[in-house]
Amino acid sequence: MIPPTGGPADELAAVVALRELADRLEDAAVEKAMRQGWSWSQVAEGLGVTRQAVHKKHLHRLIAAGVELRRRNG
Amino acid sequence: MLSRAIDEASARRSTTVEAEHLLLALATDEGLIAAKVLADAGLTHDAIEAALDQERAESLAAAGIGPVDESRLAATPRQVRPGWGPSVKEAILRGKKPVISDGRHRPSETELLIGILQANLGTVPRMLAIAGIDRGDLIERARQA
Repeated sequence: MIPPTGGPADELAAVVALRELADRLEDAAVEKAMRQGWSWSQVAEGLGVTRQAVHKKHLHRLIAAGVELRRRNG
Repeated sequence: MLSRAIDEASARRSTTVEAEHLLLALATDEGLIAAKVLADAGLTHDAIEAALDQERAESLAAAGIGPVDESRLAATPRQVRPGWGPSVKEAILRGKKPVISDGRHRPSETELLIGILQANLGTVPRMLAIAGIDRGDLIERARQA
Protein backbone atom coordinates (compact mmCIF):
# COMPACT_ATOMS: atom_id res chain seq x y z
CA MET A 1 0.00 0.00 0.00
CA ILE A 2 1.31 3.47 -0.89
CA PRO A 3 1.67 5.69 2.21
CA PRO A 4 -0.49 8.86 2.14
CA THR A 5 2.45 11.10 3.11
CA GLY A 6 5.97 11.49 1.74
CA GLY A 7 7.30 11.32 -1.82
CA PRO A 8 4.83 11.83 -4.67
CA ALA A 9 1.89 11.88 -2.19
CA ASP A 10 3.26 15.14 -0.77
CA GLU A 11 3.78 16.60 -4.25
CA LEU A 12 0.22 15.73 -5.31
CA ALA A 13 -1.22 17.10 -2.06
CA ALA A 14 0.75 20.30 -2.66
CA VAL A 15 -1.11 20.69 -5.97
CA VAL A 16 -4.46 20.26 -4.19
CA ALA A 17 -3.49 22.80 -1.53
CA LEU A 18 -2.18 25.30 -4.11
CA ARG A 19 -5.39 25.09 -6.17
CA GLU A 20 -7.42 25.75 -3.05
CA LEU A 21 -5.15 28.64 -2.09
CA ALA A 22 -5.34 30.08 -5.61
CA ASP A 23 -9.16 29.99 -5.49
CA ARG A 24 -9.21 31.80 -2.18
CA LEU A 25 -6.63 34.37 -3.31
CA GLU A 26 -8.65 35.01 -6.46
CA ASP A 27 -11.86 35.65 -4.52
CA ALA A 28 -10.08 38.03 -2.14
CA ALA A 29 -8.11 39.89 -4.83
CA VAL A 30 -11.05 40.33 -7.22
CA GLU A 31 -13.19 41.68 -4.39
CA LYS A 32 -10.44 44.06 -3.27
CA ALA A 33 -9.89 45.37 -6.80
CA MET A 34 -13.62 45.92 -7.42
CA ARG A 35 -14.00 47.72 -4.09
CA GLN A 36 -11.22 50.04 -5.27
CA GLY A 37 -13.19 50.79 -8.43
CA TRP A 38 -11.46 48.55 -10.96
CA SER A 39 -13.62 47.66 -13.97
CA TRP A 40 -14.47 44.09 -14.98
CA SER A 41 -12.12 44.48 -17.95
CA GLN A 42 -9.22 45.56 -15.76
CA VAL A 43 -9.72 42.68 -13.33
CA ALA A 44 -9.97 40.23 -16.24
CA GLU A 45 -6.78 41.60 -17.76
CA GLY A 46 -5.01 41.35 -14.43
CA LEU A 47 -6.11 37.72 -14.04
CA GLY A 48 -5.36 36.83 -17.65
CA VAL A 49 -8.91 35.64 -18.34
CA THR A 50 -11.83 36.98 -20.37
CA ARG A 51 -14.15 39.59 -18.95
CA GLN A 52 -17.05 37.15 -19.39
CA ALA A 53 -15.26 34.53 -17.29
CA VAL A 54 -14.56 36.83 -14.37
CA HIS A 55 -18.07 38.29 -14.56
CA LYS A 56 -19.70 34.86 -14.51
CA LYS A 57 -17.58 33.65 -11.62
CA HIS A 58 -17.78 36.66 -9.32
CA LEU A 59 -20.83 38.82 -10.14
CA HIS A 60 -23.31 37.25 -7.69
CA ARG A 61 -20.74 37.13 -4.92
CA LEU A 62 -19.88 40.80 -5.31
CA ILE A 63 -23.53 41.83 -5.45
CA ALA A 64 -24.04 39.89 -2.20
CA ALA A 65 -21.02 41.69 -0.75
CA GLY A 66 -22.65 45.03 -1.59
CA VAL A 67 -19.71 46.13 -3.73
CA GLU A 68 -20.54 49.06 -5.97
CA LEU A 69 -19.92 47.67 -9.42
CA ARG A 70 -18.96 49.63 -12.48
CA ARG A 71 -20.92 48.96 -15.63
CA ARG A 72 -19.81 45.81 -17.38
CA ASN A 73 -18.68 47.76 -20.44
CA GLY A 74 -16.80 50.21 -18.23
CA MET B 1 -26.01 14.42 7.05
CA LEU B 2 -25.19 15.20 3.42
CA SER B 3 -26.64 18.70 3.67
CA ARG B 4 -24.53 19.23 6.79
CA ALA B 5 -21.48 18.16 4.78
CA ILE B 6 -22.34 20.85 2.21
CA ASP B 7 -22.48 23.41 5.02
CA GLU B 8 -19.08 22.25 6.28
CA ALA B 9 -17.61 22.62 2.77
CA SER B 10 -19.04 26.16 2.48
CA ALA B 11 -17.72 27.08 5.92
CA ARG B 12 -14.24 25.96 4.85
CA ARG B 13 -14.57 27.91 1.58
CA SER B 14 -14.23 24.79 -0.52
CA THR B 15 -15.70 24.78 -4.03
CA THR B 16 -16.42 21.05 -3.69
CA VAL B 17 -17.78 18.81 -0.93
CA GLU B 18 -15.07 16.27 -0.06
CA ALA B 19 -14.72 13.33 2.33
CA GLU B 20 -13.25 15.56 5.04
CA HIS B 21 -16.42 17.67 5.07
CA LEU B 22 -18.55 14.57 5.57
CA LEU B 23 -16.20 13.55 8.39
CA LEU B 24 -16.70 16.97 10.01
CA ALA B 25 -20.47 16.60 9.64
CA LEU B 26 -20.38 13.16 11.32
CA ALA B 27 -18.29 14.55 14.19
CA THR B 28 -20.82 17.33 14.83
CA ASP B 29 -23.71 15.10 15.90
CA GLU B 30 -22.69 13.93 19.35
CA GLY B 31 -25.61 11.51 19.47
CA LEU B 32 -24.07 9.34 16.75
CA ILE B 33 -21.95 6.26 17.39
CA ALA B 34 -19.66 7.52 14.61
CA ALA B 35 -19.09 10.79 16.49
CA LYS B 36 -18.31 8.88 19.67
CA VAL B 37 -15.76 6.66 17.88
CA LEU B 38 -14.08 9.80 16.51
CA ALA B 39 -14.18 11.66 19.84
CA ASP B 40 -12.66 8.64 21.63
CA ALA B 41 -9.69 8.97 19.25
CA GLY B 42 -9.47 12.69 20.09
CA LEU B 43 -11.17 13.69 16.84
CA THR B 44 -13.79 16.21 17.88
CA HIS B 45 -15.07 18.61 15.22
CA ASP B 46 -12.57 21.30 16.29
CA ALA B 47 -9.70 18.82 16.45
CA ILE B 48 -10.46 17.60 12.90
CA GLU B 49 -10.54 21.20 11.65
CA ALA B 50 -7.17 21.90 13.26
CA ALA B 51 -5.73 18.69 11.80
CA LEU B 52 -7.06 19.59 8.33
CA ASP B 53 -5.45 23.04 8.57
CA GLN B 54 -2.18 21.35 9.56
CA GLU B 55 -2.42 18.98 6.58
CA ARG B 56 -2.92 21.91 4.18
CA ALA B 57 -0.04 23.86 5.72
CA GLU B 58 2.31 20.87 5.39
CA SER B 59 1.17 20.23 1.82
CA LEU B 60 1.86 23.86 0.87
CA ALA B 61 5.23 23.61 2.61
CA ALA B 62 6.03 20.67 0.30
CA ALA B 63 5.78 23.18 -2.56
CA GLY B 64 7.89 25.72 -0.69
CA ILE B 65 4.95 27.93 0.28
CA GLY B 66 4.91 29.33 3.81
CA PRO B 67 1.82 30.26 5.84
CA VAL B 68 -0.45 32.82 4.15
CA ASP B 69 -1.98 35.51 6.36
CA GLU B 70 -5.72 34.75 6.67
CA SER B 71 -6.55 38.46 6.45
CA ARG B 72 -5.22 38.50 2.88
CA LEU B 73 -7.67 35.72 2.00
CA ALA B 74 -10.76 37.37 3.49
CA ALA B 75 -13.53 37.44 0.90
CA THR B 76 -17.30 37.25 0.59
CA PRO B 77 -18.22 33.57 0.15
CA ARG B 78 -19.24 32.28 -3.27
CA GLN B 79 -22.98 32.08 -3.72
CA VAL B 80 -23.02 28.80 -5.60
CA ARG B 81 -23.48 25.59 -3.65
CA PRO B 82 -20.32 23.49 -3.65
CA GLY B 83 -20.58 20.45 -5.93
CA TRP B 84 -19.87 16.85 -4.96
CA GLY B 85 -16.17 16.01 -5.15
CA PRO B 86 -14.77 12.57 -6.04
CA SER B 87 -13.53 11.71 -2.54
CA VAL B 88 -16.97 12.07 -0.97
CA LYS B 89 -18.63 10.06 -3.75
CA GLU B 90 -16.15 7.23 -3.19
CA ALA B 91 -16.65 7.35 0.58
CA ILE B 92 -20.44 7.13 0.21
CA LEU B 93 -20.14 4.21 -2.23
CA ARG B 94 -17.83 2.34 0.15
CA GLY B 95 -20.19 3.12 3.03
CA LYS B 96 -23.12 1.64 1.12
CA LYS B 97 -21.19 -1.48 0.14
CA PRO B 98 -18.99 -2.48 3.04
CA VAL B 99 -15.74 -3.98 1.77
CA ILE B 100 -15.78 -6.53 4.57
CA SER B 101 -19.30 -7.66 5.32
CA ASP B 102 -19.55 -9.56 8.57
CA GLY B 103 -23.32 -9.62 8.58
CA ARG B 104 -23.55 -7.14 11.44
CA HIS B 105 -26.07 -4.38 11.14
CA ARG B 106 -24.64 -0.95 11.80
CA PRO B 107 -26.25 2.48 11.59
CA SER B 108 -25.59 4.00 8.18
CA GLU B 109 -23.56 6.84 9.71
CA THR B 110 -21.07 4.32 11.07
CA GLU B 111 -20.82 2.66 7.64
CA LEU B 112 -20.24 6.13 6.17
CA LEU B 113 -17.45 6.74 8.67
CA ILE B 114 -15.83 3.43 7.73
CA GLY B 115 -16.22 4.37 4.06
CA ILE B 116 -14.44 7.68 4.68
CA LEU B 117 -11.65 6.06 6.70
CA GLN B 118 -10.99 3.37 4.07
CA ALA B 119 -9.49 5.86 1.59
CA ASN B 120 -5.75 5.10 1.38
CA LEU B 121 -4.70 8.34 -0.30
CA GLY B 122 -5.85 11.93 -0.20
CA THR B 123 -6.68 14.56 2.40
CA VAL B 124 -8.32 12.40 5.10
CA PRO B 125 -5.61 9.72 5.39
CA ARG B 126 -2.93 12.44 5.22
CA MET B 127 -4.67 14.41 7.96
CA LEU B 128 -4.87 11.29 10.16
CA ALA B 129 -1.22 10.35 9.52
CA ILE B 130 -0.01 13.88 10.32
CA ALA B 131 -2.16 13.90 13.49
CA GLY B 132 -0.58 10.59 14.53
CA ILE B 133 -3.85 8.63 14.38
CA ASP B 134 -3.73 4.92 13.50
CA ARG B 135 -6.26 4.66 10.68
CA GLY B 136 -6.49 0.86 10.76
CA ASP B 137 -7.19 0.93 14.48
CA LEU B 138 -9.87 3.60 14.01
CA ILE B 139 -11.59 1.53 11.29
CA GLU B 140 -11.53 -1.48 13.63
CA ARG B 141 -13.04 0.56 16.46
CA ALA B 142 -15.79 1.80 14.14
CA ARG B 143 -16.52 -1.81 13.13
CA GLN B 144 -16.69 -2.92 16.75
CA ALA B 145 -18.88 0.00 17.84
